Amino acid sequence: MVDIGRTALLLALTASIYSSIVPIVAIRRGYPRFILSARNGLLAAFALYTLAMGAMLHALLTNDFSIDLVAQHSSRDLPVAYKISALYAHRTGSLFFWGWLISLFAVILVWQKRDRLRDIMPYGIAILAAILAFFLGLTALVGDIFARNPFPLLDGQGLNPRLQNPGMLIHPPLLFVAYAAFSMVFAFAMGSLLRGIPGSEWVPGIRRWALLGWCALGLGNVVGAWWAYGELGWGGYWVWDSVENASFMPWLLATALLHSMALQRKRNYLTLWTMGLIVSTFAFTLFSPFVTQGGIASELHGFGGTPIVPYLGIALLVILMASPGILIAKRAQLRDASRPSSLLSREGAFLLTNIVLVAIAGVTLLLTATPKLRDLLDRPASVDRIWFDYACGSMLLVLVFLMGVCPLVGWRKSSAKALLRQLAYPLVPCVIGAIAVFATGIGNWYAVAAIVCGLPLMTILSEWVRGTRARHRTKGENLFVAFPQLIWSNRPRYGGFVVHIGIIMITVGVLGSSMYDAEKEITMHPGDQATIKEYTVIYRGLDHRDEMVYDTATGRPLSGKAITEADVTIKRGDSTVCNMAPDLNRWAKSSELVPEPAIRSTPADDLFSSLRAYDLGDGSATLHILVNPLVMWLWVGGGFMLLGGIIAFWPERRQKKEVQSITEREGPP
Amino acid sequence: MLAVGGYLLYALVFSDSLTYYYTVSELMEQAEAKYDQSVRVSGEVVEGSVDWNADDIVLSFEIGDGSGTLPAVYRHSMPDGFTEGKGVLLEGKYRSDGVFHASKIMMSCPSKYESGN
Repeated sequence: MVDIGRTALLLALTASIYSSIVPIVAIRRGYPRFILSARNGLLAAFALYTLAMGAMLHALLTNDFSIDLVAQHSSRDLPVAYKISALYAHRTGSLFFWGWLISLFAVILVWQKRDRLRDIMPYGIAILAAILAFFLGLTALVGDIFARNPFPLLDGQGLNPRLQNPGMLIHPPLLFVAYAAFSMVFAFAMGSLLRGIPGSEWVPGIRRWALLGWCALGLGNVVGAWWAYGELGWGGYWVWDSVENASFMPWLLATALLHSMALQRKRNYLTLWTMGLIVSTFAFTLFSPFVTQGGIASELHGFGGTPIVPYLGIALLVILMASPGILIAKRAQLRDASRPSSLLSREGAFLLTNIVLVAIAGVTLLLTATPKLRDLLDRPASVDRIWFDYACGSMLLVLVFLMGVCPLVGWRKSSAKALLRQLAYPLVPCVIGAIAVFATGIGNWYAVAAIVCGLPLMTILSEWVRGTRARHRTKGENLFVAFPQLIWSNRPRYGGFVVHIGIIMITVGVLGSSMYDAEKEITMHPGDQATIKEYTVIYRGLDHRDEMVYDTATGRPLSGKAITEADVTIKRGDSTVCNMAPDLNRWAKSSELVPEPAIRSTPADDLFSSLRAYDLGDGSATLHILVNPLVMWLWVGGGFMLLGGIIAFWPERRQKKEVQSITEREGPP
Repeated sequence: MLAVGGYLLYALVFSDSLTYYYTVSELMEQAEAKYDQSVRVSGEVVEGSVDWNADDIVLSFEIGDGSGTLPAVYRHSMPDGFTEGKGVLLEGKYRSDGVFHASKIMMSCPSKYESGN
């Protein structure tokens, strides 16, 4: 199987190299028929890649420890789902999986555009095939994915216990789906540009690919934060770690891209900017593995990098050097058909949103790269997270506020007076709310949050109420029918609003949990009590269960874990809130103790408890207990982002001309 | 916007407002000059030096870099993955009592996608 896989991978590499050269020759020499041959090469590459993927999955599922990847990251006792996830726990394995998604998406894209393949896709096919060849080269040649393990093994080293979590089954694939989708956007846009097609024609053709990438990336980041919160045992979900930033930056750029594409589609404005965003989003998807594989090895990830890193660096350089040249050479095709007559217009508001998003990405990049820059200057220093919190946090709040202003400004030109009048209706209740919050003394930051988050929420809700009532009046629809009909009538616009509500929820969650958390670290003996905020923590004792399987001859642990659990009761006043059982586990295949925190979530606050240390002798336990307000809204907000993304993604039915004309008047998001 | 960006770049790359980091021997050399300043220091946890006082929640240990060792205390429980012989990065202050008071311990940890071996 392994030999089949490796051969298939090398053949796929050959096929994709063929497909990346032939279209260019075909166009230069005028043999349009050959473009279909290149397409077939791409299909063959996908089929062969899938065969290699099958061989790898077979090796994972049959515990073939003669393959290094399986030996390093899997083991016999691992549940089937985690055996598969061992693939992307491995560094080359993650690129292997990502590359396969690229080949799959490329086939779908080629099929979508099958009618106009010769007109618009020759360069697109060449670019897709070149990207695929790059990934195949990395996984087949540089970091041999089917590398053999020279020693016969009875069992593998197993998957890192922290990765054995449902969040880690979906977080990496979501990121790779997103990154692969952005390669489609890049290849199609760049291909169309090189073919001499004006931007206004190809931008609409890739909106859904960009949306797929954006949605998968946003959800992937939320799931990553959820995993860190539930699994890592320190009670937080985000630390501005370079690995986190690496997937946050492309999300920011993709968010800017969706907005500039909407503007391009609707107003034929910002075409060059849109193209620039497409290139930079794609470049950031390559920067992400560059970081995770140790490319900007900060003190925390000091691995010295894998052999793949230099190749990723070269690919990044090529993209960053070649793309601006192409954009300048083809600038005539990227000229805007119209300009807004005033920046005080929805066009202006969209532009401002775009600038702020790009600025946040830029600052994040700068702060992430600073330790590396300082290293190069031989003045090593690190950047405290407070820099990120202030610089990026404040701009993110501006962004949320802009979400509230944007729908109030008219297209083309708006007057300051009209805007202020429109702003007054939603802003007044927010300010009253903020004053009320301030007066009750809950906290000043909640007052700021009430204004920043309240405004966009009020704008969106009042928009929905107005639209629903209008449908009710003009079409006689029942209010319960009118609302979903309204959402469905202009899915890109209302899907966007649903996403905005998700973002507001996430903002509320972040502000609440970072401003008003309370924490306590304490060693307790059975029967001890402690208080944190309004809660009483009662510690009852330890429960130790050894679930390891031992080798009968040597007595060495083979698999499983030994669980030590603290029995904790939380009370508020006299009533019991909940019982919690945080664990600290010793795994047979890991040298360290791995905590498994216990969390009780409600919309108001989370109780988070983690067992940090214990003494089986006297039954004492060191517990880390946190009260994190509003954290649940992060995950609910993530759900809304997904929902809004699906609404916006849903295909538009072309025959519905009547609905179209209504939405035309109301405009897109 | 450009001005703000430029200033930020200058501040990050050239100024001294960031937290510096040292190796154990570098910090020991300039010990007095660095008393009570917020710094980072990297080294390996010395074998056999770790002492955990559960009742007072004090973790004391030494870190070394081959040419010197530095005693350190951390008034929290052991962070995940903290083991003897492992490379760590401490953030905190070196006090005149000759002990490094760490407010944060970071492991030279593997990325979350790679198992720790």
